[in-house]
Amino acid sequence: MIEPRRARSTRTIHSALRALRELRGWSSFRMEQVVVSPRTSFTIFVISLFVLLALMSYQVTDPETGQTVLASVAFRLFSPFQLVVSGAVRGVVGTFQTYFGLVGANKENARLKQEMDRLRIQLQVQSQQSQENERLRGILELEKNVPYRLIAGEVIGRDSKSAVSETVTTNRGTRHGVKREMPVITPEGVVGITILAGPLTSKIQLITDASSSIGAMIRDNRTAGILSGMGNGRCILRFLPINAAIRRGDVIVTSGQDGIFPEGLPVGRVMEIVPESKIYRSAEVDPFQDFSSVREIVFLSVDLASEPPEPVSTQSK
Amino acid sequence: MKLLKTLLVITVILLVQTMVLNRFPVLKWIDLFLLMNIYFALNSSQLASLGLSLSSGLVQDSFSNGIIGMNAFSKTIVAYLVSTLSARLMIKHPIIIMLLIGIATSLDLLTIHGLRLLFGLKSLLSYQVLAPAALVNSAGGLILFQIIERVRAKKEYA
Repeated sequence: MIEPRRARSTRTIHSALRALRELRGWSSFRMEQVVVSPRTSFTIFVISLFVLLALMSYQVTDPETGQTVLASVAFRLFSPFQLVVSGAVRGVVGTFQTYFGLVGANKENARLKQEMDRLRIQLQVQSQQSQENERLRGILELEKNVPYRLIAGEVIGRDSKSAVSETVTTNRGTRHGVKREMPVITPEGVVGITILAGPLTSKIQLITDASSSIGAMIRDNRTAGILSGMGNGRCILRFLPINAAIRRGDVIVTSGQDGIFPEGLPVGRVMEIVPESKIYRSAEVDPFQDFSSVREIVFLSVDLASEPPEPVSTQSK
Repeated sequence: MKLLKTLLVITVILLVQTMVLNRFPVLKWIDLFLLMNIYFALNSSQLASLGLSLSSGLVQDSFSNGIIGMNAFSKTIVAYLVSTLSARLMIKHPIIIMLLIGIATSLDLLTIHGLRLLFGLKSLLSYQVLAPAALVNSAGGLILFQIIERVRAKKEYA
């Protein structure tokens, strides 16, 4: 049966005390009176050997390292343990560093997301500015080609209170030379007519408005009609002769017969031909201008001689 | 064994070993310290023999040209093993004692040889050293032990 360690220790101490009690001074000391267990003897034996080894190692110098063998052997003996312990410590530290690194990474991630959102918005703004530059460049080209004084403006609001009412508000008014029933166009095509002109702003009725009517014609054969808005983003060219040559895809331009729009401004393209009566038929027209995204517009000023408007600018006030 | 007697014995052995035995070609193989340790390992407690081997080995080292601790190391191993063996076996027969001394001598020399190699020192151990040392020590040890036993027996009888 294995003796409990506590009992063994107690017995060893008792043996030592008994031996000491029997001592009557140095001269009467008898080592054989000290009786210890074989395990204790073995322990003392091993400790003695280690002490002697250390003593010997301390006296010898290792030619490789230049240090005492004791230091060299101790280093070689304990370096694997040091390796294991340092590995374990590194592992624990690494785990903590990873954990704190993850916490830091989360914060960094959130910051980078914010930065990315900011840059994305900035990119969108720059992209819009680039598109705006393209549009303005188109307007400048338009100014060269159209023999009218142009008043550039910008859409600042939209009216959507009625399903069939399609109007927009611009940042140009009478102070800029804008008047009522002034044609409004873009490089893509006809936009509408000014129906209300204030000092600084004006309201434009889009050609797709249900109450809008302008003179238009088929560009190729000059068959004229009246272009009315349908209130659904499309127009309809009415009163076309029943025998008029008209096909899907034909380009519709202004005819100049309404006394507002000059002739030849692009309007849209024929999408569908609809019989209207025995002598007329109609054509549904898809405007070239996308009114949902229109921004920069140009007013065509026909009475230029009297008072020139302000220079062309798209700057909002 | 009284402590002072032990110290006295160690001193006498040291003197005899260094001043007498080393002067004779055959007797120089006798290691009195080793024989003393074997004797006490056979006739004393294990702890006492360990203490004696350790201290006598250090004394021997102190008076020899070498690393201090080598003889103490080897003598401690020998004493422990002999003591352990004597606690389990009845070692009284002369041949057994001779054999035991021969083995102990070989173990002592081999241990010192190993230590010298371990510390990068030159070792001169060979069978030409080991064999005569083991033989002379066995014979000398047996004679010495017999003398001591007779002296002790006479003393106890008296």
